[in-house]
Formats: sequence, C-alpha cells, structure tokens
Amino acid sequence: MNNNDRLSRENTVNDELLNSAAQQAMRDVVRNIPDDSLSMAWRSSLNEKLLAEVAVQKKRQRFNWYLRPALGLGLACTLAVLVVFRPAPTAKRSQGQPPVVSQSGIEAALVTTHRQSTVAWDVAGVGLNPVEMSTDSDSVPVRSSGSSSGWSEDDLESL
Amino acid sequence: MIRHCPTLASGLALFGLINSGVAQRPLKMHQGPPPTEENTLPPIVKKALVASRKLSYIGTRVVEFRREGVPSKHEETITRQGSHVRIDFPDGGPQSGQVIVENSHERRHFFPDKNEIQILPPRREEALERLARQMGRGKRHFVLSMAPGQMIAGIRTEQVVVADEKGNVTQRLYIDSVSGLILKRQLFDQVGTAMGGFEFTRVDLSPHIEPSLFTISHKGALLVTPEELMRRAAKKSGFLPIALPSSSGFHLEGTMTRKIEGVDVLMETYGSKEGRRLTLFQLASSVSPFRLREFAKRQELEFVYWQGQGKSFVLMGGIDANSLLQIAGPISGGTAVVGR
Amino acid sequence: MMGMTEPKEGAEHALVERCRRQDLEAFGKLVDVYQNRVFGFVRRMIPNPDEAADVTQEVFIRAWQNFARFDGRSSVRTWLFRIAHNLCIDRARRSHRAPAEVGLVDPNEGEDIEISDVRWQPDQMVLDDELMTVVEQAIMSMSEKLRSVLLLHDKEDMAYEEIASMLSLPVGTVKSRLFLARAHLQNALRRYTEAEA
Repeated sequence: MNNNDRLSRENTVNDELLNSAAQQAMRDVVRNIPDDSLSMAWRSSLNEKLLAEVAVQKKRQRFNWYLRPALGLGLACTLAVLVVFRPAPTAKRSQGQPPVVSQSGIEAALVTTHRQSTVAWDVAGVGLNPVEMSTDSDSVPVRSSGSSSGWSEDDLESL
Repeated sequence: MIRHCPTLASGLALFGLINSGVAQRPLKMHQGPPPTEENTLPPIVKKALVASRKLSYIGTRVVEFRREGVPSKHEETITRQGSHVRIDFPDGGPQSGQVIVENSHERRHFFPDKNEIQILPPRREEALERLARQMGRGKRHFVLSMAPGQMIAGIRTEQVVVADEKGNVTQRLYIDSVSGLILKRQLFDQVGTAMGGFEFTRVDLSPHIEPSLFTISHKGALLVTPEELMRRAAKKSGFLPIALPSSSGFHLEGTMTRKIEGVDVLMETYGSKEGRRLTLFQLASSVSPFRLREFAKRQELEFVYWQGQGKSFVLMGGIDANSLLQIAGPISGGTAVVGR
Repeated sequence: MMGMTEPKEGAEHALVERCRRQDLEAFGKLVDVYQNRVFGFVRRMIPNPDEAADVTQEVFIRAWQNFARFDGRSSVRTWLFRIAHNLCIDRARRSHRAPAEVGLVDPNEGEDIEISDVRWQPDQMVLDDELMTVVEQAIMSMSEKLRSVLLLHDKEDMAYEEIASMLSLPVGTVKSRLFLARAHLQNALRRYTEAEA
C-alpha cells in the first residue's frame, strides 16, 4: 500500500461515521466509566519524592554557585563536592549489627510514618486513636488469670 | 545559604531575636499585660480552649486519619462532662462493644472479645493547647484568620484558618461560637494534602448525663498496661522489649508492628504532658542516617540513631537533638548519635 | 479531598507560572486536579496496578523536573498526558507487552477491517459492575494505538487536533483509530448483550 492509498483509507473515516448513533453510544460508554482515585498513601509517597527532588535541585543550585568563580579553588571545590555529596555511611557488618539492606524508601517512610502518627493522634484527641485501632485487631486469646502484672478487674477499683 | 554566609546568618539571627521578642505577628494586639499564651489568641479560639476543658455534651463524630499509610475512617460517640469522657462505638462496626472511659488520671479501654481492659495515660484535646503554646513561645509564626463557617450538625460555626508563615493552610477549625465546641477540624500538610480530621454529625449541648456512665466494670477482665502490650508485641515479632524510661517525661501510649517498605518495624509512640510526641522505631535492618536526615529536616524533625543486638533504633520527634540524646542514653548504652 | 475540577483558564495560567518558578504548593494543586485522570489513563495502558501507580508518580515527577521547559504551546493537560503516554509506551516496550487483539486490526497494518454491524446500537447501557468489566476487558484487549486514542478522546474529551499533536499523528489517523476502537468496543458489547439475551 503506498502513502496515497493509506491517506485515502484514513480519510474515509470521516466525521459522519464518527458521529453515528452507534459510535456516539460507545463514546458515552467510555465517558461514563467511573473515575479512578488514588490513595492518600500514594499521594503522600509522591509528596515525599517531590520534596526529595526539591532538595536535589537546591543542592545542584548551590553546587553551581560555587563552581562558577572556582578558578583557583579547584581543591576547595572538590572538597566541597565531597562534603556535600559524600555517600551515606554504610555500617560494616559485625556481630550484633543488623544487616545492611538497600531500602531506598525506608528513610522517607519512617519520617512519613512518624508524621502521620503525630497527626492522627492530634486529630483523634480523646477519641479512638490509631494504636487503639491496631490493638483491636491484634486478637489475643482471653486469659482469665495469670497476666504478668497479676492484675484483674476483681483486684482493683474501677474508675 | 546560611551555612556559607556568616554575615547573613548573624543578621538573620539578630532579626529573629528582635522579631520573636516583640510581636506575636501578625496578631498585633499587645497593649497592657505582657502576652501570655492565651492572651494572644482570638476570642473564638480562647472560647474553644475553655470549652475543651469544661464543656458537657454528647456528640457523634466521624474521624478520619491515616493508619499505616492508608486513610481510615470511623464513627464514635463522645459523652463528655468536664474531664470525664466516655467513647462508644456503633453497633455492628469494627469497634462494636468497645468502650473507652477517661478522667484526668487515667484512660481505660475495654475490649469485649478479649475481655481485656487497657490502662493508658489520659488523652486530651491537645490541638488548641499546642497551638496556643507555640504562639506564646513565639517559636513559630502562625496566621489566624476568621470567617463565617458552614453549618455543622445543625449548628452555625465560625471558621478559623491556621496558616504558616508561608501562607500554607495547615488547619481549618469550625467552632460553635456559642459553646466553643470544635465541630469540625481538618489538617493539611505542606503541599495542601488533607492529612486527617473529624466532623460532628450530631451534638446535644444540654445533655442529661448519669455519672455512672464514666465507669466500666467487667468481672474477670484482664488489666494490661502499655508496657505489657509492648512486651507482647515485641515478643510476638522477634523484637527487643525496649522502652523509653519514664524519667524522660514521655509516657508510652502505644505499640504497633508494621511492615514499612518491606522492612519489619516495631513502632512505639510516646506523648508528654505538654503534648509533644516521639516515635521509637526498632528495625530489623539498617537505615542510612544521611538519607534520614534529609527527609527529617524537611519535616522539621530531629532524630537519634543507634544499633545493638542485631537491631537498629531510631528515636524521632519534634524536640531538639540533645534532648533526644539524653532520653535515648539509658536504653542505647550511650551509643546513640544525632542524625547527620 | 481529591478529584478537583480543572481550574479556569486564567487560574490555570497563574498556577502554571508559579510551577515554572518551582512553587511546590502550586504544583501540588495541579497534581490534585490531574492525578486521578492521569492514573485512569495509565492504568488502562499498563494493566499491572502497582506499576501503573508508579508510572503515574513518575509522570508528575518528570513534570516537576521539566516544568521550566514547558513552553505553554499546548495545555498543561496535553503536556501531562503526553508524558504519561510516552512513559507507558516505554514500559510496554521494556516488557515486550503486546496485547492480543480481537477481531480488528489497525488499518495501518494493511489488513482487512472487520466492522461490527452498524445497525446494532444499544438503547441505554447502564454501567453496572458486570458491564463495566466487559467494557474494561474490551479496552484492554485492543492495541495500544487504538486504546490511547479512545481514552484521550472519549474519556478525556481531547480534540482530534490535540491528540494528533500529542501523538505526532495526522488528524485523519486519529479519527480512524478512534473509529476502530469504538467498533471494537461495540463488538464486545454486542457479544455480551447477545449472550445475556
């Protein structure tokens, strides 16, 4: 098929065909597909990545600011680069130390977790808080006696 | 920039000292007695502070926050008479049958399926008190603006918008201007994403409340403390049962085990009487203090870090690093270091 | 909290200018408006939901990284979806994904076209869960070329010229692909309704 044939084939699909009842019905079907939604966890993760990008961009700007007038400062600039871009200290595996695992997101996630926890406690106020919710799902078999504290409701006054 | 420009740094420090001592900007209304925390607040916020300590009401609210990174919503009914509080949950819901009661000394949470009562430190509606403290200290500059609010639970409200010094809205409060009850609250992060909040759906501000409502009594129920729950969680998941000392001024409020980015983590949450919060993470693998520093700095958080007995520990919170070091000292064997 | 409507032209222009100046808060507002729509497009181009969520994040990260270079000749929407489309194509190439086509072949491949009976038209299709599944499966079973045009035009309401510019295609090609995509969907729904009957 040459280009002219291809073009004429394409042009045969004109607006009249596209506006036919059947075609428009399909358009309505697709249009009415329910909207998707992303979780707050996704958004939180994106926010963290964007903040990390901002940090990287700022470092780059700082790097350039020093490099331009750096004609006689070769060694100092190299040291500045080394100080700014030094690799994260990696723990040498020795007895009693946990394994070094490459977890690119764990640090950001810990900060996010603390932040979310703080907000959740703040929001919960006197009400049910996230830990109480989690405790709720940790089912432990009922024991009527013999806890490590030795307490039971019979021993103490209630509020 | 400040690190590399001492002159600018000195100038800014001086400017900061002058600024923090003089005005609670932008509420420039200090004539008369020196500003205390509450004197600097608008009347509606002061009213809400008083109400949070003294009001009596029965109300049902929907609360939303993130739990393990996922949004979580639940309904609770609060019966309050001053410092006495009772929380009930809807029948048939996940917390059906659970009851929480609290006074100024203690909080008790009853779990019917376990026949267990957890004894916890009392909680408070700390939000406004923390805001008042921060404004009073002049450490952070907030902008408060007031506007008519929406009808909530059939009550007309006044809206208080709290923004940071960059103008980012951090909270919206909808307060009943008559009683001072906060009927709706929303919290936002630095980029405006909603982080959580609550909204009352119905409220009775003139309730008849039987004093016996604030009592729970279940024969044979086991009483457990947060420390026991922590030991239980740690043992179950192969972690060390380590907690901050009570002398730190922080009390253990809860323990959870979670998988974060594929790593098993034991997470202990602590609170102080002043409403400060710390989290002690215990991990089965190492983390990079350098990377952690980058992320923590963004959120104005400090942390200390140490390793021992095959685990990593991170103690994180919004207090200064030296205080964190002191708190972590006894349990880290003095090996904790400030995150750099 | 999410699913905000598209800002008016003037408001979007102001947002874009702030984004160009690396205003993260303004960019966050843009993300609010477009995140679900971009995800809706991406997850129908990349079937794996986790991968689709990752790619959606990548769209916005790339947009943030390159906002200074956004020249405003197209709308922000077109620009975001172009990034999304390119990332989806990259991913598909890397995984050598080639969805099975059912009944229809892209005319640019030079083969015969089987078009559904043009007299068949559903009266009113209520999109219940079962029907939604049929629709989604039909969309996923068509080629990426047809699928992308269908989603951009019928779901995102983009104009032919906008799509043509975004995909570097002639307008005629956009129209023919749209026609074929709808016909493919029509076939699938006809088979479903006939089976139900």
